[in-house]
Amino acid sequence: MHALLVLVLASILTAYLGIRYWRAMLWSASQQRLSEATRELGAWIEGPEGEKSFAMICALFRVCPKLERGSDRKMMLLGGYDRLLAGMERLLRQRDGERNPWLAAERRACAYFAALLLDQRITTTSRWYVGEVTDPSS
Amino acid sequence: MLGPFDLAVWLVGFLAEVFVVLWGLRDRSLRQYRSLIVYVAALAANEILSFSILQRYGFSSNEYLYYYYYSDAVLTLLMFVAIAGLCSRIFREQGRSGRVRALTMVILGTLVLYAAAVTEVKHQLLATRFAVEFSESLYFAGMILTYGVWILLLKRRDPRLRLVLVVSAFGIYFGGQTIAYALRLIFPALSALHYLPPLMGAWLPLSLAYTVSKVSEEARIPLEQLAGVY
Repeated sequence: MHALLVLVLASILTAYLGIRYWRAMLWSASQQRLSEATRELGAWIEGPEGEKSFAMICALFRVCPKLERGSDRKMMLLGGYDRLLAGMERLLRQRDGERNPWLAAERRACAYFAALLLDQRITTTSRWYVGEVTDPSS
Repeated sequence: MLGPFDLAVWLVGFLAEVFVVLWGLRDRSLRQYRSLIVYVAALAANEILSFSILQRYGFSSNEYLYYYYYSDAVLTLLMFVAIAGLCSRIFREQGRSGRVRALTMVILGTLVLYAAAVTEVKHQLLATRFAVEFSESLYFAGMILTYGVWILLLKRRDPRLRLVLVVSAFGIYFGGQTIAYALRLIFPALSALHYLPPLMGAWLPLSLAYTVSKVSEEARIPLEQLAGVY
């Protein structure tokens, strides 16, 4: 009984702090500035329908030449989180009839993080194209 | 016996610990996190010591068993002190550091008595049993204390991203270890539990390595939005 209580309490607190940690990581991305190439995306994300920009950024990310090895794990993780938020948004909109500002802000943060990943990929590809780097992982 | 998984997790954790200590020596802004850096240095020293004892005496030896449980208890105690140091720093900024010291001493005293009482009640007055009970209690108290620090940060709307990440990382670590201990009590035969403590052990230095190297002291975060309170 004692162990079960400890387990339940620890699970709740760990999940709570885990979510806050993940969100702090997302928000920390917003401290970084986008480069000239993706600045317009940043303005779009900040716009009135900015929370819907994630799909578009994802599509741009896929068509941008990829030089690194390995899968796009960060983007996949973000995509999963954005789909979860979109699902919650749809449910709440059906119930309340209006959009939830917290979910919209969270989806904007997701889109911004995705734009940063796209930005990194464009920068690496451009540097490789002009011959500044030969090893894309550097 | 240690398998490739344990060794890989151990190596990743150890390298991250060395990285955090070296970065802490280099970066002046990390001086205010002294107690944390000392704790991570102790972790790295412990990795070397435990590995050499393991090599010399073997995994199932009494020497390794005693060393493992006692070093775990001492390290958890050090970590507890590090978290109390963080707590004290936040209180000091509010001019209330004396209360934290008193509270920490009371919690520690209570935990020692509690661990001794539990061991006595179970009629297993073994030194290792005491160390296990003590670690378990410290993890639990550490989790509650870290959560308290988080609430304090939230209450103050403290926007320092580095502090937020450090506190959350410790909270997840304490929580994960508490979950592992509780699960072990409920399901003693569950073999998957073997993986949880080393993974949590690697999580802490890895997250600290990310925080000290990628997040500057000046980085700020809208904490009320992060926690969903306005």
